[in-house]
Amino acid sequence: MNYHISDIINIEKLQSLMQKFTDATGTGTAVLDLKGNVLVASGWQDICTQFHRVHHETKKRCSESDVALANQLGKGKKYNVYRCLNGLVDVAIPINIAGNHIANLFIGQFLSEEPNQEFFRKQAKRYGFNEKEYLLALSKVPVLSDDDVKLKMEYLSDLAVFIGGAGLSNLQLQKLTEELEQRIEERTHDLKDAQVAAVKMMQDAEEARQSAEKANENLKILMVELKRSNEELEQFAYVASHDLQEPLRMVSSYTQLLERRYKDRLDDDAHDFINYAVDGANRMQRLINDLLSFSRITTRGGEFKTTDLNPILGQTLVNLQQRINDTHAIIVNDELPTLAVDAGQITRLFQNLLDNGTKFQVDEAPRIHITVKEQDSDWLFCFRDNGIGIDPQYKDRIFVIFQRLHSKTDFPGTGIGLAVCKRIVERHGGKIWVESELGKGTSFYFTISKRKDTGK
Amino acid sequence: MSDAYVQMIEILLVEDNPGDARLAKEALKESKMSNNLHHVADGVEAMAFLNKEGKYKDMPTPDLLLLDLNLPKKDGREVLAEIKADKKLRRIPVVILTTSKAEADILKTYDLHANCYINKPLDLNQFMIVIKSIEDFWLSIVKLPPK
Repeated sequence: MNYHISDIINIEKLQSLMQKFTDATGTGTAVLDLKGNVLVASGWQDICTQFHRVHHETKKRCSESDVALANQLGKGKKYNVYRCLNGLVDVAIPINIAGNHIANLFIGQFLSEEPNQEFFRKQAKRYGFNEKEYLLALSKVPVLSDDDVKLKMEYLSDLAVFIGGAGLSNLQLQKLTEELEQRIEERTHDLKDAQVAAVKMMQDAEEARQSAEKANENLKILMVELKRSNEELEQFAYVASHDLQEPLRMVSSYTQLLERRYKDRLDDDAHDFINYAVDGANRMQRLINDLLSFSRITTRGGEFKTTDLNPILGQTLVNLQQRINDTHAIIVNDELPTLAVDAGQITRLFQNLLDNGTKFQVDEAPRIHITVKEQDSDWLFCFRDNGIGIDPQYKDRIFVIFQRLHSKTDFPGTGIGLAVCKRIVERHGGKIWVESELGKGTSFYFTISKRKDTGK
Repeated sequence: MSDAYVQMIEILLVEDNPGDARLAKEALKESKMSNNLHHVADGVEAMAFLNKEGKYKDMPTPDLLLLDLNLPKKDGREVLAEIKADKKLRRIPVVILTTSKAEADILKTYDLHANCYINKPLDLNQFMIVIKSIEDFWLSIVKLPPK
C-alpha cells in the first residue's frame, strides 16, 4: 500500500473530532502514522508538552514509548494499554483500512491510579524540571479508572473502525475516481481519435465532393463537346448530302449527256468508258446516301412507340414484293410481339435481314423462317435462311460498315445493310449476332429490350 | 391549254452551279414548249431580277421560279421568304430544286410557302424527266394566276 492516511482521511476534520472528544472527556488524543509522525493531537497534558516532550531525554522516551506501543498493535490486538517510560498511561488503537494497518489512534497522558509523587519529584530533579510547576502539571493529569478507560477505549475503537470504514469508502471512491479518470482519459483519447477520424472523414468527403464536382464539370465539358461534335456530324451529313453530290451529279449527268448527244459518233470503247464513269458516280452516290442514313440512325432516330410488329413485318414484305416474286422466296413467321420501338427502323431492320436472306442464294428458292422467343428482359428474334452461309471467321466482320464478303458482281450492295441492322438493334437496347456455316444457311439472332426508355 | 404552246413561258432559274444551270437548259431545250429560260447565279441577283432593278429593268416577270437552296450572298431560303412576303411576287410558283434531302430544309421551305420541293436526281435521264414533269405540271396542268 503506497497511500498515507492523510490521502484518504480528512485530517483536519479528525482533528476537530478528537478535540471535541477531549473537550467532552478531558482525555488527550493523538493520531500517529506508522513512522511516528503526529498527525492529530488534542488535549495534551502540560506535563507532556512542556516537560517530557521538551527535554531531549524524556522526549526520546516519548518516542520510544509511542513506537513500542504501536509495535504491539501490529500483532492484531484490538487495543493496547501501555505505561509510558515517563510514568503516564497511553492506550493505542490501530486504524485499519481494507485490512492494512496504516495509523494508530492514541488516548493517553492519564494515570490509572494516584501518582507516585516521589517518582515524579525524582524525575523533576533528574531532568532539571521546575519541581513546583512539574508537580502542578502532574496534578492536572486525570486519574482514570479501568472502567472509564475501557468505556473510552470501546468508544474510540468503534471510532477507529468507523474511520477505517470511512477511509475504505474514501479509498474505494478514490480508486473509482481514478478508474473513472482513467476511463475518462481513455474515452477522451478515443474521442480525440474519433474526432481526428471524423475530421479525416470530413476532409475525405470534401475531397470526394470536390472530385465529384470536377468530374461533373468534366462531364459538362464533355457534353458540350459531344453536342458540338454532334452538330459537326450534322453539318458533315449536310455537306455530304449536298456538296459531295453536286460534283457527282456533274460527272454522271454530263457523261450521260455526252452519250445522249453523241451516241452515233462514239465507238464501243467510248460507250464502255461512259458506262464505267456513270456506274462509279452512281455507286459513289449510294455510298454517300448509305453513310448518311447510317449516321442518321442515332442522330435522327424516331420516337419509341408501343407497336405491334406483325403489321411492320407485313409492310416489309410489301416493300420486298418484287424480290420475293423474282426469287420465289417463301417467308414464314411466328406471331410477333408488341414492343416499344422506332417503327421505321424496325421496318428497315426486317427489310435488310430479309433482303440478305433472299439475296445470298445460289440454287434453291430462298426460305426464311422468322421465330421469336420471350426472355427475361427482352425478346429474341431469329431470321433463319437456307442461303449460302457465312464462314464463321467472318461473323463479326459482316457487321462493320462497308465490309463485304463477296464481289459486287456476285451479290450487289454497298456493305451497309448489317451495319445498319447492328446500329438499329443497339439503339433498341439489344444485340445482334450470327450463327452460320458455309453451305448450311444462316441464322441472324437479335434481341429487342422490353424496356421503353432505350434509344434516348 | 393550247395557249401554253403559243405563249412564251418565262422561267427564272436561280442556280449557282453553271453545270446544273446548263443541264436544266439542256433539258428544257428538249421540251416541246416554247420557253425562255433566264438564269441568275445568286440570291441578290434573283431579287434584282424579280424587282426589275438595274440591268433587269426590261426583264419579264417569270411564270415559274426554279430555286436552288444553297446560294452565294443570299440563299434560297431568304429569297423564298422575301418573295412570299411580297404582294407583287408571292403568286409566282416557286419550285425548290436542290440536292438537299435534309428534313429540316423540306419543312423550312414549305413553312415559307414553297410551292413544291424536288430533289435533283443524279441520273441524267431522271433529271430530264423531272424537268419535263415540272414543266408539264406547272406550265400546262396547273392553272396559274393571270399576270
